[in-house]
Amino acid sequence: MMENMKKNILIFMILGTVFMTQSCSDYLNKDADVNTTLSYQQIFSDVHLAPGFLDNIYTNMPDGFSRFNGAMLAAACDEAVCSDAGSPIQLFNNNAINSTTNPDDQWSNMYRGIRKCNMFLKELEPDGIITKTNSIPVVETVGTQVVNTRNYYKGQALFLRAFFHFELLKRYGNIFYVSKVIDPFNEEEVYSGTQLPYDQTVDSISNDCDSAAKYMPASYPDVSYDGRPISWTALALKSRLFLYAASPLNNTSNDLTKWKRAVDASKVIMDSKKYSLNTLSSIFTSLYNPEIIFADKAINRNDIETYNYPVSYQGLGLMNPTEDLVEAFGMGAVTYINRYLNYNPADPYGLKNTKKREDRFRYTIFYNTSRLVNLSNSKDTIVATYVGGKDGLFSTPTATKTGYYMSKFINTSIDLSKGTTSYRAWIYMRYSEILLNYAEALNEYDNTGANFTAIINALNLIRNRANLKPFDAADKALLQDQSQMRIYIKRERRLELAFEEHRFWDLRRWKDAETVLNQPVQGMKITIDDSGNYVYTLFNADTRVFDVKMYWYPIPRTEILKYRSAGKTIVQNPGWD
Amino acid sequence: MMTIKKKPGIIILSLFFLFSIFTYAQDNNPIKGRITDKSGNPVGNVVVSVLDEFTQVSSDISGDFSISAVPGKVLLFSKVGFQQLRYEIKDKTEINIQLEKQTREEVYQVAYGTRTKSTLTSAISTISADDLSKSPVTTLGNAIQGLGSGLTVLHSVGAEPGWDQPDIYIRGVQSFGSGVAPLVLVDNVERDFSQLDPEEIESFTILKDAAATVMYGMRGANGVILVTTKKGFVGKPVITLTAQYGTQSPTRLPQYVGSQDYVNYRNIALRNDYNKLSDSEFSSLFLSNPQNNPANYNGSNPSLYPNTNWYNSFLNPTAPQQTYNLSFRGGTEVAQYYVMLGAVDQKGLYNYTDENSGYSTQNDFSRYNFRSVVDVNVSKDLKIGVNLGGRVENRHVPNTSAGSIISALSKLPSTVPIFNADSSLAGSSIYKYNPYGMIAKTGFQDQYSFYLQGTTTFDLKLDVITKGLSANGLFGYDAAKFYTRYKNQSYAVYQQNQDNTYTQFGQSTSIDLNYGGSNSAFNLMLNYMCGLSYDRTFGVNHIAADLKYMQSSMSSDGDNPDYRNQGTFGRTTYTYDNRYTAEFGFAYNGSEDFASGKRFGFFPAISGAWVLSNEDFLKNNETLNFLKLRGSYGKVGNSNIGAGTRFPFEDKFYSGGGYYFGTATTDGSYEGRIANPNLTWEESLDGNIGLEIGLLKKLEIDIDVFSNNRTQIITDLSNTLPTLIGQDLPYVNDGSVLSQGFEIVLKHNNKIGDFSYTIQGNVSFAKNKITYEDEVAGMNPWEYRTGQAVMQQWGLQVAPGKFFKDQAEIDGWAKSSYGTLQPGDVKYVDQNHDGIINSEDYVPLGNPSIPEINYGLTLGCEYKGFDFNVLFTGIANRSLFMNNNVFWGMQDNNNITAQVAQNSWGISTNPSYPRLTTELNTNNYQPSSLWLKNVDYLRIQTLEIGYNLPKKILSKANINSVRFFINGYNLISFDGMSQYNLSAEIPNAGVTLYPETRVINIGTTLKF
Repeated sequence: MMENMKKNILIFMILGTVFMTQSCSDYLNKDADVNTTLSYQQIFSDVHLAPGFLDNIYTNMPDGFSRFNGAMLAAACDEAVCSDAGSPIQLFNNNAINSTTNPDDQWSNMYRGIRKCNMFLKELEPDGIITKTNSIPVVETVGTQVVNTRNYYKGQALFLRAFFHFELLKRYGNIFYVSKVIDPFNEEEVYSGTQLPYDQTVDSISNDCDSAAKYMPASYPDVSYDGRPISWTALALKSRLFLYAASPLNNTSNDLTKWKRAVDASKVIMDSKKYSLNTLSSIFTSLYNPEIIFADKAINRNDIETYNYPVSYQGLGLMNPTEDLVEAFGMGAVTYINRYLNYNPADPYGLKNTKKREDRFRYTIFYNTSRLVNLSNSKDTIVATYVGGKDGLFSTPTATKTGYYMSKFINTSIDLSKGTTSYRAWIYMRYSEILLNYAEALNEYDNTGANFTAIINALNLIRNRANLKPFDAADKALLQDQSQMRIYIKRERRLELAFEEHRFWDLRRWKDAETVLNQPVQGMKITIDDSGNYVYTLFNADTRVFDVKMYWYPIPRTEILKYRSAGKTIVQNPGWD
Repeated sequence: MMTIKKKPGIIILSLFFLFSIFTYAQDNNPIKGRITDKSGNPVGNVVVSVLDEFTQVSSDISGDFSISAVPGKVLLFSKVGFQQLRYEIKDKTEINIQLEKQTREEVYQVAYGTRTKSTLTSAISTISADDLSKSPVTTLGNAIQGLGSGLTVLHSVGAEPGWDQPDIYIRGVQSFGSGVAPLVLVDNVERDFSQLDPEEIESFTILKDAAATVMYGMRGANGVILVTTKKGFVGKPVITLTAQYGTQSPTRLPQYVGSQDYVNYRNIALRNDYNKLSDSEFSSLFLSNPQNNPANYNGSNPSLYPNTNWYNSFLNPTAPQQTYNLSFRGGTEVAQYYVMLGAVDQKGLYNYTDENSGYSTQNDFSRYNFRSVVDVNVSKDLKIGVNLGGRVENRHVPNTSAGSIISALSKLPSTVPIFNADSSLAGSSIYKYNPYGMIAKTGFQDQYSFYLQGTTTFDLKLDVITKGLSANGLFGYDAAKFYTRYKNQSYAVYQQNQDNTYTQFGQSTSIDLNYGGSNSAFNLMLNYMCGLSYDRTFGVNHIAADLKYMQSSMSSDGDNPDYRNQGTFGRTTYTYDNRYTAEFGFAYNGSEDFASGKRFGFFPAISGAWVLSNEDFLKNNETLNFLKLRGSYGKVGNSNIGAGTRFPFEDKFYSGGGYYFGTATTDGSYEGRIANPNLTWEESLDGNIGLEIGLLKKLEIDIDVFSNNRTQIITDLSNTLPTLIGQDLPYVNDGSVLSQGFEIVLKHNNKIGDFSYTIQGNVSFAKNKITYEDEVAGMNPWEYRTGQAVMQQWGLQVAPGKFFKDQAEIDGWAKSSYGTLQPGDVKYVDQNHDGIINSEDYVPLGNPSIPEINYGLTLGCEYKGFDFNVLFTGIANRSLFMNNNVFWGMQDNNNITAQVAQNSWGISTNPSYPRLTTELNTNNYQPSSLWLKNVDYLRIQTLEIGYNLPKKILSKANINSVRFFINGYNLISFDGMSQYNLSAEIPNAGVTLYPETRVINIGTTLKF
C-alpha cells in the first residue's frame, strides 16, 4: 500500500513535469497585450494606419539633394564638377560604372516602393481589407465639401506606381512592370514577370497615370493636402514620359505620332490653367508655390547649404558649376539674338557696369563677387572665388574646382554657424518643364504655322519670367528653322532646369551624351594682376568620358545572376554583359 | 550617491571594529596540535574552528595550530582539496590530526550538477576563482582570457572605465547567422556576469560539447558559460577584507610628427593634390603662405605656429582605480551564509577635467556590488537557499563620447594650438572642434544602472518515496533599472588669422541649468525551475538522474512583449565501478521566435567515459596514474536570430514613417521583413573525443578534439531571390558550417622542499568553413563564401609594384571605381579582367577576423610565504584591416605618423604606403592586402607577486592571514604592431577608441 502510494507520487511528479511543458505549450506565444508590430489585418483595417501605409510610400522617392553623399547628379554631366574627388558621383565621369558599382542604382529602392503600391492597391479591391473594413471611407465631408477619399488614395497609389516605374525606365530601359505583390515562397510568382519592350512599359506607365488621374481630384479641399499629387500631376508625368519616349534614343525611326502624343500630354497641363510660373527668387524656397507640380516632402533642413555653400560660409562647396554652363547664360533684358550683346570677356559677370547676365544666372551660380544677399550674420557676404580668395580655387580641399559655386536651391538666410534651417523640398516636376516639353515636342512634330506661334508663346512665358525680352522678329526668323529652335530649346532647358536632374537624362535621350560628355568641362581661374584687376583664364576643370553603353544603366549584376541561376531569362542592357 | 573617496575611512572603522571582536581574549585552555596528510606531510592553511563558537585559527606551514576550546566541543578542520574533519575534544591538549585528501578527484560543475573527474563525460573547462582575482580588472570578462581552453576573448573597444566588455566565443564562431554569442548563466539563471566582483565567484565553467550543453537544448549550440557564486560553509566565519589601489596607463599611443615635419609632409601632400598646377603656381598659392613654412614653427610664436602634442596635453599618464571588498563566510549545520560587499572606483585618463566649479568631467566608473547568500537546513530533508546579489553602477563621463575625444586627439595636427594668443579656444574652418572644449565644455553625463539578482532554491529529499530521490526548485527574480541624466553645453572655437583677427566657429553656451534625462529603462525577469533528482549507489553501480522543467519571462518597459523561454530537460548517468560511465542528456525546449509547431525541439546527447587507469591492467601504475577516454555526440540547437529581431514567423507591420503634407507629418505605416511561419532553429551535430592523462601524479594532460556541424543556419535568401520582390526577404533555415578543432590542456604541480610550483597551459584551435550558403551560380570563383571561414576577411589584392608610377601606367591599367587616380595611388589586381577595379575583385585575404588559435600559459610558484604567478596569453591566425589615422594619416588634413610619412610614395625609394593626400581618397583606402595586418600577439596578461605575513606575527592580533600583493594586467605584448605604437588586439584603441590600458595594482588581503 505504502509502496504503491510512493510510486504514484513519483509517477505523478514525473508526469506533472512533462504535463507542465505540454499544458504551457502556449506560454511562448507572443504576449498579445504588448505590441511592437502590427499584423497585416491591423494595418489595413485601421483608419489611421491604412492611409498611413500609402503616405509612407512617398518616402521611397529618390531625393535629388542627397543621393550621392551631398553631390548631385548634375556633377555627372556637363553642368557641374563635384569638388570632392572621392565622391561616388565621380564614377560616372571616370567611366567606372558597371553592373556591380553604380551609385545611382535605384533597382531595389524603386521595387520596394512598387511593392507598397501593389499591396495598398490590393486591399482597395472589392474584397480587400480597406474596402471591407471601410478604413478609408469612400466619401468624407471636409468643411463643406464632399471628397472621394478612397478614390484619392487609390489614385495616389497608382500615380506612385507609375512614378517609380518611370524612374526605373529612364535608368534601365529594360524593366519588369510589377503590378502585384510577390510572395517570395512562390517561385512561379517570383519569376512570373518578364522585361517588357520599352514602348510597352511606356504604355503601362501611361495607363497607370490615366487611372490615377481619374481617381485623384483636380484640387483638394484644404491646405492640409498640399503636396499630394492631383489628377494633373499624373498627367504631367505623362508629358515627361511621352517626351522621353519620343526622343531619339527611344524613337529611332522618329515616329512623329510619338511626338504628337508628347505635345498633347503637355498641352493638357497648359490648358488646365492649374499651374503658373512663380517669381524666380522663390521657386525653391517657397513651399507649394503655384509652379510646383510635384515635389518631395518639405523638411526642415540645411544640408543643401552644408554641402554647397561656398567654403568660407562653412559649407563644403561641393557643386561647382562649369564654365560651359556659365557661358550658356546670356545677358539680361535682351532678345535671343542679342544675348551676348555687350558681353565683355574681361568682365564676364558685369562687375564694372550694369551689363549683367540674365537674372537666372545669379539664382543658379555663385560667381566671384556675387553676394549672399540675405546672409544675416556674416559681415562679409561677398563670395571670393579668385585664387587666394577665401572661397577661391585651392583654398580648402573641397573649395571650388571651377571658380563657381551653385546658388540654386540655396536659402541664403541660412547661417550655418548658427545652425539655422528652413523647409525645402526637392522638386520633381514644375510648370516650366511642361512648357519646355511642349515646345520641344511640338517643334519636333510640326513647327509650322500656328504651331510655331504656340511654341514661341510657351517659350516667351519662361523668357518673361527670367526678365528677358520676348522674341523679336529677328529671333523668330531664326527660330523658324526647326534645328535652330531645337538648339534654343536644348539651351533653354539647360539653363532653366539646371541642377534639377534634367540635363543628365536629356543628354541621353537626345543621344547628345556621346559628343557632349566626351570633352572636358571648363573652369574659370580668376587671379588678381599687379594693378589689382581680375584676370580671367579658362582652364580644363575636369574630364568627362561617356561610353555609348552608358545610355542605359546596367541592370545590377546580382539580379542577372539570380535569374540565370534559376534558369530564367533576363536581358542585360547592351555593353554591360 | 556616496563617493568612493570616503570609502577608506569607512573601511578603517570597520577594521577597528573587527579587531576589537577578535582581540577579545578567550581564556580557555589552548588545544595544540599538528595537521598532516596521509603520508605525514604537514598541511598548512587549514581552517580550524570550534563548532558553534566564534573561535577560529589556521595552521601554519608546518601544520601546527593552537586554539582555545574546552573539552566536549567539536573542532572542524577544513581546507579545499581535503575532506572536512570533525574532532571532538576530549581532555587531550596535544592532538594529531590526519586530513584525507578528497578521494574523489576534483569536482566539476556541469549543467545543473557536478561530476567527478572519473565520471565526467563531457568537454568542459573551468577557471578557478583564485585565478580570476589575480587580474586587477574591473570587468570580469577581461580576467578570463587564457585561463580556459576553447575560449576566445576578444576586445573590440578600448579600456574606457565601465565600457570595456570583451566579446566572448566558445570554440570560435560556428554560424554565419547573426546569433553567435554563447549562453551565459549565473547561478543557473541567464544573466550577465561581466560586472560581478571576482570575490563573489566560486567557479567559472565553460561548457563546450553537446554532452555538456544539451540540457540547454536550442540555446546551447554556441556553448554555455556557467558562473556560480559563493555559498557559506559549516565552520567559523571567515572574514576577508581586500583593498587594492592601482593605476591604469595607456599601453600604446600613436606617435605623430611635430609641426615642422607636419608642414613639410603637408606641403608634399598638397603638391600631390594639386599636381595640375605648375611649380610656380603651386609656390605662389601654397608655399608663400606663412602657415606652410616649416621654418616658422620654431617656437617663437607658439599661438600662430605651435607644436602641440595632443596626447600629452589631454591624456594623463596614469589614472587611479581602487577596489575594496569585504566578505563574511561561515555557518552552522543549520545555516550557512556568505555576505559580500564590494566597491570599485575607476577614473579616466582625461586632462582638463576640473575646469568648471561644482563638477568634474573626468570619466569615473563606480560600482558597488553586494551579495548575501543564506542556505538553511529547515529539516533533515529540506534545504532552502536564498542568494541575493546586486549592484549599483554609475558611469560619469563628459557629454562627448570617448570616441570623439580620442579621434580629435588623433586627427588634430601639431600645427593647431589648443589656445589662441588671446587664450580663446583654438580651431579653424577645417578643425571646428577642440578636445579642450569636448572634455571641459560640453557638460557631463551620469549613466546609472541598478541590478538585483535574486535566486531562491529548495532541495527536498524524498527518501520516503524511494531512497536517493529528491525534488528541487529554483525561483529567480531579477530587476534592472537604467537611467541617464546629463547637462549639456556647447563651445565655440576661434581661428586666429594672420591679421590677428578671429573667426568664430560654433556657439558658446553655458551649461544647462537643469538635468535632462534619457534612456530610462526597466527590466524585470522571473525564472522558475523545478525538478526531480535521483542519486543512488548500488554496490559498484551508481545512478544519477535529473528531470527539470523551466520557464522564464523578462518584462521590459516600452512596447516589448515579454521575452520568454521554456523547456524540459534531463539527464541520466550510469557509472559502473568507477570505470565505465554512460550518460544520456536531453532537452525539449522551445523558442518564442518560432511559430507554434516549429517551436519545440528535442535535443539528445549521449556520452561516455572509460577510466582505463581503474582497469586491472593499469591500476596502480606509477607512471601512468590516470587515463581516461571519453566521447560525446549529440544534437543541440541555436534559436538566436540576433539582437533586436523577434517573432520572425509573423507579419511585421509597423506604424510610423509618415510623410509631410501641408504643414504636418501624417500617420504612417509600413511593412517589415516578410514573415516565415516555417522558420525554426539552427541545428548542430556535435562530436567530441577527449583523452585525459595523468602522469607521475604531477602532470595532467587533457586533449579534446571536436567536430561540430551546424546546419539549418538562420539566414535569408537575398543572395538568390530577385530584388524586385521589394522587401527584406524572410529568414529561412539554409546553410551549413563545419567547425573543427582541438584543445590541449597541461597541468603540472610539483613541490621541492618549501618550493612549490605550478605550470598550466592550454592551446585551443578552432577553424570553421562554410560548407553551404545559398549563392548564385556564375560568380567569379573567389567571390563565393561557401568554402571560406565565417569571419574571413575580403579585400582587394594589391598588384606588384603596389603604386602607380605615372599617368601612363594608370591609363594602361584597369579603371578604379573608387575615384580619379594619379601617380602614387594604389594599384589593384583586376581579378576578373573586366577593366574595372570594384567589389567583384575582392578576394579572401589573410586570416579570419576572429583568431583560430588561442592559448594561455600560467607559471606559478610559492616559497615560504612568497608567491609568484604569471599568465601569458596569446592568439594566432587573426587578420585585421588597418583603417585608422595612424596608417591613413594626412588624409582629410589629419595628423600623420613619421612611420607612414617616411615610407610613403614619393618620399621613400621603396614605399609601403600610397602618396600623401590632404583630401579624402577612396581608392587607396579600400580594404586591401596593403592594409591587412597579422595581429597575432603574445602578452603578459597578468603577473602577481604576493607575500603572506608569518603566522607568528599574526596570531597575537588574532588575524588569520595577511597577504600583500602587487599585480599587473596587460603588461607587455609581443606582436607586430608595436612598431606602429598600436595595440595588436584593438588597433583602433587610442586612435578612434579610448586607449587600451595596462594596470599596475597593489593590494592587501586580510583574513580573520
